[in-house]
Amino acid sequence: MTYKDFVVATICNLSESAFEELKRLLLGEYISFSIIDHTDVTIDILAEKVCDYFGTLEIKTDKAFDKLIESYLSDLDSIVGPHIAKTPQAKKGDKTPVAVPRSRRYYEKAMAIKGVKKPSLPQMIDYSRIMMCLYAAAIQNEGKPIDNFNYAAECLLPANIVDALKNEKVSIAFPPFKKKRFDAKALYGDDMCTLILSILILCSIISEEVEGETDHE
Amino acid sequence: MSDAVVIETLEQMKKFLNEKGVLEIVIRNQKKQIDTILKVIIDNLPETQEKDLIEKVIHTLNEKVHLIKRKLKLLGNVAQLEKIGMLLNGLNLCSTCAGFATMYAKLDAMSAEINQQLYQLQKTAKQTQDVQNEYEFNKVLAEHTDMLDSQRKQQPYSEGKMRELVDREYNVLTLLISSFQKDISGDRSALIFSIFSMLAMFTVSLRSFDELYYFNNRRALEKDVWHLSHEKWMSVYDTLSSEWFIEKLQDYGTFETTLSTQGVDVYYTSLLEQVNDLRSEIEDNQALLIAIGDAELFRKYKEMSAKEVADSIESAYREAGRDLDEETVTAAYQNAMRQAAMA
Repeated sequence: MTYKDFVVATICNLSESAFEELKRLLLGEYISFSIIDHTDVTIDILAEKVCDYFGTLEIKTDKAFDKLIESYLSDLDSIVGPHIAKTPQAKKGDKTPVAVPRSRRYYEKAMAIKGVKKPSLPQMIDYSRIMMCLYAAAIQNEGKPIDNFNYAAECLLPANIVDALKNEKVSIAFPPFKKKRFDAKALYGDDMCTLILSILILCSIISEEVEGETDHE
Repeated sequence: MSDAVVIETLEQMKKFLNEKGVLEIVIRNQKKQIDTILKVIIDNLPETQEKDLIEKVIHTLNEKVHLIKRKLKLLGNVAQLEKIGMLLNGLNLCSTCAGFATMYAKLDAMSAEINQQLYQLQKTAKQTQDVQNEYEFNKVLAEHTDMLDSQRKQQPYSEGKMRELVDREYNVLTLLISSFQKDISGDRSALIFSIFSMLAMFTVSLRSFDELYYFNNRRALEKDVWHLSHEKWMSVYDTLSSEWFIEKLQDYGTFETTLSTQGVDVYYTSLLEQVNDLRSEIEDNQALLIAIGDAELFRKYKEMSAKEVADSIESAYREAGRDLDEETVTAAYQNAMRQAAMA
């Protein structure tokens, strides 16, 4: 997948409200305009700017977009994975089948997608949807392992999820220290790319949210 | 025809039509309040043109009533396999003889599987009485057909007989839901289809029963004008909107079909909406009964709604037959209306 295809598929089809949310999350912090006022930024303008970002990223990291996607998939796994409740061990002599926690079943489905070489955009969206919903449940559960979660897209509040991601920390071996995983100062790095991709995909998911007919009335 | 996933083929439908060859579909108005009976003719149309037209009409009507094109696309093959369109038209199909014949055929084909699952459920629950016979799935299907046929012949069921039917359908529905909850092994697609079909059948029966009960008894009952079991019966809609049921539908869509996450969204939200729509059917009808109050007036109101339906069919024909010449469309429409009136 080229970054242009990705940007067209995610940004260019956003609903109005999802686009406003995207601007709120991206502009000022990660993407800036020197001359155009933020309120005058249209979908096409933002799409161009984001394309420029990915273009620069490819050069600076010397990695093709596909490789950046791989990092994105792994990063999400390392953030969300530890929160998923493990399948309990079968007790000795107990013949009752072990119930796999619902969260783990969905997590394993996501892992199957992650194992695909060069996932398509729909596969990326499926993966992200599952992982983000699991992450949203983990946030609500204050970091404790989750055995169930809300699959509905309406539980994904981009602002909450992005805030939580921004607070994610990674441990450094030496000196023993925990630093922020997503450092805005290192804008053209793998980690920040993951954050930007997360924001784009989140907005794309909420834009496509299937509303019931009764909601239109 | 790639978007037309609502009904299989006309060929298959023809097998199950009555001797007049009528399919009756019920449609809600814009406010989703009252549904009316729409009679569409599926005739032995020799011209491919007309046959295509009819298929397009059905497709158009269904588009108006339920899934929009985008949603249909998302469901794709799964809609075809799972007969989603049929489920979402369940109420329509379960309220008339010819319509129900289509559902019946599908359900009857599954009844061996369903009976097997119900039997296993009862074994698990260690039930000692021989309840299986009473709740046999296909028996309820036959009874429902009989009820509709009696209505068609203008010899409707008595209040008592109607209540028995409502009770039996409620009991089978409850067993089906338990089966689903307990993950009894078997064809889950068949089970889901049966649950939603039975829910539609039950809604039709309960709605008819409410009308009978209300007009028979309201002079004797000042308040609490509905049958004492009404609340218990209505609780089935709550069960089917509960968190555990929705989660199981999501799980089914995610792990047992090839749907994407968005496809699963469409799948379970459509079915959930269907539950809400069917619940509204009963509640709206109850409100209507109380508001109108008089049996004769109520009958007239239903007739008026039928006129709206006729207009709806006509516009559906016009829309579907846009590429055909005026004469063909008019002939097909008039043929349909004539035979519907005779039905």
